[in-house]
Amino acid sequence: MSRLKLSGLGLALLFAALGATIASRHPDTLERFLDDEGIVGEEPAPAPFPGYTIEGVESERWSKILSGAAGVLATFGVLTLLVGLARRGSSPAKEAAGSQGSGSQGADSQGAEETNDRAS
Amino acid sequence: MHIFDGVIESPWVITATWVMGGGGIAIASRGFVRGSNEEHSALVGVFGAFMFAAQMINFTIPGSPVSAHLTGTALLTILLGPAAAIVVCAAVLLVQCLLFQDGGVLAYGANVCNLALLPAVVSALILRATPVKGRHRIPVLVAIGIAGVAASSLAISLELIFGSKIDAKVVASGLLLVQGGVAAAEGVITAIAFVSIRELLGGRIPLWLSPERVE
Repeated sequence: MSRLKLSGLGLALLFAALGATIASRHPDTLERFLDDEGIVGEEPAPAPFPGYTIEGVESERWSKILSGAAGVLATFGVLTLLVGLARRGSSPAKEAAGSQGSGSQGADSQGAEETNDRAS
Repeated sequence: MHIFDGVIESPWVITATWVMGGGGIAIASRGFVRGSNEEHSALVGVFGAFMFAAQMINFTIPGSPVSAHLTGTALLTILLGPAAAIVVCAAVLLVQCLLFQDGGVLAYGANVCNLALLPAVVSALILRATPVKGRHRIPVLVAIGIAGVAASSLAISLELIFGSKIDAKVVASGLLLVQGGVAAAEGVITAIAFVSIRELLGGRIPLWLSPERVE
């Protein structure tokens, strides 16, 4: 894994820990508003970390830090996987050639169009 | 600002937001794959992880009993371009909804429209119109953050007006107007974060604006 990825992930984990530590106890504007209007919503579907907590972890802070870290890694994993699959699916020849430059040349005219568009 | 299940009761609004959100993700994914290279792909995962973490830092809005956190869509739009920003935000919303109960499952379509699609499109329109340099640099960065939250707030309000039993006037006065503080915070954080990330990564970002349009 590249240095950029590692340091980026490390920084993201630090941010999650910071967020878990200093997070405001107030609800956000929408939650507050819905609460004032008496709208409680439905019982949410079961999830592994309901409300950024882990069942069985006593400390509220650690529960949030650890579940946050899981979320950071899950987001990274999901995106890396999806982007990898999408790029492989869209251009098998490009991937097989393994040359980085071919990516931006993009073969099809629409790809080139987009590149021009962005450059203008 | 994630909508949870049971808030929007109208099946029409739920369907409409799913169609818009799903369509937006599909178009953005195609755009991203076409315009991307190895470097883009590497950055997308990292910035997604980063955005998830940044959204955990919620702070009290001074002088009020409410909190806010960075949405980050405007920031991602200037860093990665609107297509990648939409893909990244949709992935963050998916993880929040499925793993953390942060945002409803049925409301996922609405949350994608509100927090990914609309702020990315609005920020991209501003960035196309104005270069991010010289004395305009900071004002433009603040503006995309503010405009992104304004777009999100407007969309949420419309969904509540048409999809829930809350009265339109109550939504306008109780929700739309109090979003000013959230928008201002988003603008300031967007500017600080962009300047810092630019300092750290130099010419590697932004990925989509040509170098002469940004400093």
